[in-house]
Amino acid sequence: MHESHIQDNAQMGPSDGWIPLGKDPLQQPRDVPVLSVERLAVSYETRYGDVPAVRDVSFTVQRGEAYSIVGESGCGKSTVAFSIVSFLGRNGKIVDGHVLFQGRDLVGHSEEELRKLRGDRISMVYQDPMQALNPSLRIGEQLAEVLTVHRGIGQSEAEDRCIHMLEQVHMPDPANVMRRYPHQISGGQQQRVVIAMALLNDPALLIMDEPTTALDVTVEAAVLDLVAELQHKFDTAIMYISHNLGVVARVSDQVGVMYAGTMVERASVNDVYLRPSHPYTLGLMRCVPRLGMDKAASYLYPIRGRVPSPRNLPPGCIFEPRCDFARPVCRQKSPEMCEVEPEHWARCHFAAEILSGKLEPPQDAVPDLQALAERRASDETVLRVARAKTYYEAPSKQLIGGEKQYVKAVDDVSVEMKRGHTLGIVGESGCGKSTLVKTIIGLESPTGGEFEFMGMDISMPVSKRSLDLIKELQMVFQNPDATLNPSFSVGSQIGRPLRRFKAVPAHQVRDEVVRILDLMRLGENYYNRLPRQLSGGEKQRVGIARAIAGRPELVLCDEPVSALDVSVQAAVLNLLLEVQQEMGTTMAFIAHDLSVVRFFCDTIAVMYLGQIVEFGPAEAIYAPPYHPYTEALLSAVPIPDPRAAQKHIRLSGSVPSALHPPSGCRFHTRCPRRLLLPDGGQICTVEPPPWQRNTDEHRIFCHIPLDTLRQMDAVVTIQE
Amino acid sequence: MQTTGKPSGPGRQVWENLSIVFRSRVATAGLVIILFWILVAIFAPILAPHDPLAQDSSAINQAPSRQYLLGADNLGRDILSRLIYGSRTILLLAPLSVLCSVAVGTLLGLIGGYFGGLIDEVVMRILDAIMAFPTILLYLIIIAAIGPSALNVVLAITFVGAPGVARLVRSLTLDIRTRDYIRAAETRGENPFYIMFLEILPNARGPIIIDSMLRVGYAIFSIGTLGFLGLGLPPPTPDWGGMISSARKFIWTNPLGVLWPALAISSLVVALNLFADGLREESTRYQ
Repeated sequence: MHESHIQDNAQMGPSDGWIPLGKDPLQQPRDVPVLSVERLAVSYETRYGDVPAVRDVSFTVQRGEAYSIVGESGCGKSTVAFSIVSFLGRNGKIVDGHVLFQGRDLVGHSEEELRKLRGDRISMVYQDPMQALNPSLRIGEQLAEVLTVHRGIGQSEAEDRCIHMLEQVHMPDPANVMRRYPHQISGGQQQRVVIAMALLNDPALLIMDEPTTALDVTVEAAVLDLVAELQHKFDTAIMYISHNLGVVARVSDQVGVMYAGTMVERASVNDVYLRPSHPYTLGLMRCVPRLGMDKAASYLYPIRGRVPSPRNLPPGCIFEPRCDFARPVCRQKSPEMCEVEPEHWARCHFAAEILSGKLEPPQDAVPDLQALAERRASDETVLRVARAKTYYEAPSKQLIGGEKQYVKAVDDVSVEMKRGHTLGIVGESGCGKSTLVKTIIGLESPTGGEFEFMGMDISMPVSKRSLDLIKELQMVFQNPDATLNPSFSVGSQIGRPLRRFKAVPAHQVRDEVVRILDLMRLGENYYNRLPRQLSGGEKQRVGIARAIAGRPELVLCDEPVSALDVSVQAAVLNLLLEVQQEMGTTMAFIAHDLSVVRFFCDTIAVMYLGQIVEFGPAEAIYAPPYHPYTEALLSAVPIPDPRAAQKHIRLSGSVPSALHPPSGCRFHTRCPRRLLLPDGGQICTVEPPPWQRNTDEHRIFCHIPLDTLRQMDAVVTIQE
Repeated sequence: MQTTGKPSGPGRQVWENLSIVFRSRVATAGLVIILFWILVAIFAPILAPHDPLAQDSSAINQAPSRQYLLGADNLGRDILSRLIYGSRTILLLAPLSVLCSVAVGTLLGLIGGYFGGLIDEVVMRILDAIMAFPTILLYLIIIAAIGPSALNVVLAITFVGAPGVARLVRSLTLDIRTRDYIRAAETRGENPFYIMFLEILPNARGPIIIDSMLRVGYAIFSIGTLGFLGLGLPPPTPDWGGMISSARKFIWTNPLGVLWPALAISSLVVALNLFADGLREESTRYQ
């Protein structure tokens, strides 16, 4: 379990142990595409009439090819997938077009006929593995059922095949996993089981709908490796649905970009990412930070406006209201999909001009953030946390007595934050980043350590703090749907901290709220709206407005953009930057997206299992010398650029329990670099590592000498 | 998204809630019956053909006639008039007692759910103890101890109903208190009662309102039962439960005397259940 793989090339050859599963009666010649979708249109019946969810979508998927459909939430990606497996629900129907599976049309047949046509040759993997697995059945039973029920294979043979398939998806100790229940294995392993189950039928087409969205980035990277490996080993056609541009760049051969229910561009992955010819695709590429970009040197261009509701589509081109290149013709005539260059299709009147560079996106309106940052930054330390500990008492297994056990969520953490700076905190889920932030703000009580904020002791819960202190520390939350109280209007929720902290006299509260709404680019007409009338991005802006209303010194942001679509994410990040520049606010920023953290933060703390393992300026974290854990994280982060080459470092196993953290260096059980030490890393298992200082500001918590770490190559390189 | 053209502010809220009711045929049917009884109760003096207490010795246990449309009871009183006046008692006492039990239950549920720990443990175990008693036995004990009167009926129903409400509100609170907006309130240093009553309670109101509708139905049952057992309102107050009780002795001579008040009780209870069910279905359908 605890060994690690370090390989410099991701692809593996076909394994020798692979046994093909039976003959394929529907075997088709190679040139017939596995899946061919032609002018597909899907509508849902609602009480407001038929809603066209998907219109005019065409694409083909060949054998052994990975076709990705990328787009923001609500653009119809999943509806396309569901219409292929005819799982549209009672109120959905295909109103036009064809779905050809291995040359046969699936549209217009009964459920029984479909079963014969498809056979069991289309499998689907969903986002949440826990929804796909039955929690009350052992994994072995669920897997074997696929073979015994559908194929009439005997129980013992089915089990052998299942174990073999689990080996194929690199499940550690498959025979043992067969006897377990789904909740007894980790999320990444669950998703492997689901993939194994999908592959048991030897599908010609494997549809994966956001299969890694619920997973941590290190686990995601391993699952994506698996997808690429299976695609080659089994020669399966894969249809991959994702909103994550980085993931799509890594897995796909061909890409279709969807917007508001229709496909706006389709081409090879390189063409879509490097030579986008639809304004929407171009906009997407311009609004995601790439690893290495930072706020001083670059700017994210959000796409203005929002995706139109399918009930209420604009006449003419659907993207016209948000398009930077829109001309009168766009409002009158809806563009057809046209071939801009061979095998590169786009739905825009001006695709050729955009591709050839005659039309360029506007570059103006970029604030000089560098100058502002220099003006604001100071060396004054606002927050100092030293040897912080936050333990939770674990419920004792014995009824009476027994030794008390503690989950060491934050253990011996020291950070300092300077005025006007942003501290980024990164790490896998369960590493203690949220607990650290909650302890600072007083939602959790620290078990030990010093917490000093502007010279005041803050090592007590919020209920024991003075109002003046409370006012200075505010928080922005992750989930836009839970951050606002559904019962109160936007205005009253932003006004509440103003009244509570008496930031302005009572009669001026309304004016101040309107001023803040303007700052948030929301406008006065939002004052009386209720949260359910807002989109996700708008809710998040109101959440930020509420946090900054009392002009706090320190704002703690817990994954503020993780739940947002990329175009909205850019707008919210820009807004946070503006707030920071305008008010000189100090910020802590938790995120799992390392590109976003690199873009947004000045200083970064990398956390693993309750401890900080590397701390330093953003640019220092993303270049050698790396802590081995940082290196693994960087090699796993999906980069929205098909040219990016990353070192292939995958961590084995999952994060150990914080109830019994490993001795010595907590990372030693998964560390791929331990063997660089002369004695094979014996010291790591015994002794906690020292803090090694690379520069004054950059420190690494590792036994491996800095000189050895310095000699490592950079993890990410872009091949021109 | 803008709701222009419709009333804004609290007016809009009322309008939206009403439109939910009318979207559901079940809820509308329930509401019509409830409104019918409310109107009957309000206009009782106009609608009732006779004095509900006036006795006509010539009409004892009489079948329906032109003079007494639904017949007369064992003391010669007009059943129709007694039914009409009886609706006043029941429509006053049932909602009032539910209001009291919801108020008490909500307070206890919020406190237990929000604070958790020992407070929750103590409050909930006491409520469990109350719930462990058979309902009817509990009524008997309470009324026997404090004597039958309108106020005591309300007290008894409050005492018996509050634990159920508290359980519901506690579970809602346990869910809502994990939301980020509660964290936001805590990081503003709001006091616990502000959080309980202004941040949590408004978001729990939907299920509480629907539960209250059902509880009014149960309360009507309970008041009927207490009346039947002679523990309700002291005679000669017109009371549906009491009417069934006294007519029961003459069920062979005048079966309709039992039927009418029984129909009245069941129509009102069924209507409240229809209303609550329809409301629940419509309000949870598109969330």
